[in-house]
Amino acid sequence: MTTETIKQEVIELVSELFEDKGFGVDIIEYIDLIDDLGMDSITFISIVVEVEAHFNIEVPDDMLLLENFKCVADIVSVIENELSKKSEGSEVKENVET
Amino acid sequence: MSKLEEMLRYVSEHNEFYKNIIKEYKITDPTDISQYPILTRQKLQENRYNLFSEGAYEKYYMQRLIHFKSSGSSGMPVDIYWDLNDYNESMIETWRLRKRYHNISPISRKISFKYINNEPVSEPKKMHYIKNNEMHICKSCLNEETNAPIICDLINTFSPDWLYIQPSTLNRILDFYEKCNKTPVETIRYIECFGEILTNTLRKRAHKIFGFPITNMYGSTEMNSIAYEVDHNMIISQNVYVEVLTEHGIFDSGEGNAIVTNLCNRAMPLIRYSQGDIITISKKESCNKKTIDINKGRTRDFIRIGNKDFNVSLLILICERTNNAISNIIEEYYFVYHAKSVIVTFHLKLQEQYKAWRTKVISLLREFWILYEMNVELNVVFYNSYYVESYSNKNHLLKIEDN
Repeated sequence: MTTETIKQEVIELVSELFEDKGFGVDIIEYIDLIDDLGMDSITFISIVVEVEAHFNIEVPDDMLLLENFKCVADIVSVIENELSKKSEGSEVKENVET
Repeated sequence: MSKLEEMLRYVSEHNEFYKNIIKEYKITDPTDISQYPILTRQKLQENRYNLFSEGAYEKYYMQRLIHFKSSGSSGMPVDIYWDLNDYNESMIETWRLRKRYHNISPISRKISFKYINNEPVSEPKKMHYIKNNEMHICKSCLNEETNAPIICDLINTFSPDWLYIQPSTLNRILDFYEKCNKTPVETIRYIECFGEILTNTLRKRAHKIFGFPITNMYGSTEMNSIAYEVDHNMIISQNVYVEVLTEHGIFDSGEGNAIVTNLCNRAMPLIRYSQGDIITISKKESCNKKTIDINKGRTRDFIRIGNKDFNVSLLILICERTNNAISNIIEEYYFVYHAKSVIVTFHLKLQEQYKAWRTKVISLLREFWILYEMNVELNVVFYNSYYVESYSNKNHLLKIEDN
């Protein structure tokens, strides 16, 4: 999955969650989710569970900080990190099996 | 290092209260939970500001900590403070389970019930308020049967995805829907019960009306989620470490008083906190996880008669077996123990159309009473209206009176 694909899917997820704020999809990528959109606990947890369900990952406890989800780029970075850990894990498993 | 060891390491390095505990109790390995003493509710409340870790008091002073106050239904309300990030960390697992099993997320439309006004009101707009995606309905309004159609309409019009509700309140909502001959709106696909014992009688009744099973959540103001029901098992949350206190010591399995350590709250750590509930911890093969049985209620939900202790769970069992035998015509029940006269009174609410079955119900109850060798007088009273415990946020199934 490319960075661009992940980014577009995150933008779609986030814009659905913040639909009532009136920001267009083309703007979401550039704004601060905490300062500009007022992300609170509820929306933060919503983003985390939706991202986890959508990308089939689990964000580790030490990454569950609002500061790590300040903008779309941050979220993409967290997702890519977890996806690469997953694929490394499955490579190791394949090597062990062969 | 496990999450438990990390928390214990943290408190030993960053929390004066626990540093003193380590000195006082001569704890040789700060990451060994078995060396720590129990933290009682009284001690927690007396030390609620001493329990702050480094940096937390400053955050408290600047109002940057989240504050919760428990109901006091166990005898003493307590104040709990969280750092926002720790609070989110403690909540995330419950939300993951809600999302995975029921497709419920924090932005799903939710209805909960709380005391908004102390006196009952009859105007719909004073019975509720809406904040973001959540409707809060005033609990005291449920005491007036005339409000039944208004409450049903409020719920149905709001079209929630889920209800977050105490069992006694759920019973009342079911009464209202039946009384008004209405059906709940189809959008409701999930009900989560908390705060009180969830009986099989209520589960069956709710399932009949809503069409899906109810989920139970065991938690507390002090800990957030402790266990969550998945496929009929109460799975212990990764948010906490749970032990039981018995007369022989503290263990990580078996039956006893719940001793809970929170693994996320660094601002105000609670290590080996006495929760006040009787639980059984076991490992279920079906899910390969540690689970909790919480149907024995609070430590105060025991009555001692002669040299024998009777727990509320035994009274529940007798009631449930009776109810099973008569096709679940008992809708609701609670018990009163009269200590001076040594009598247990079962208060029962039957389905409207089965009032003529009262004699049969009493006869069956007495049979089970004898079967379980209850050497105390049994009395049975039938009621029609909602069982309300005044000045309390929760209803207890067992009340103890001294008359």
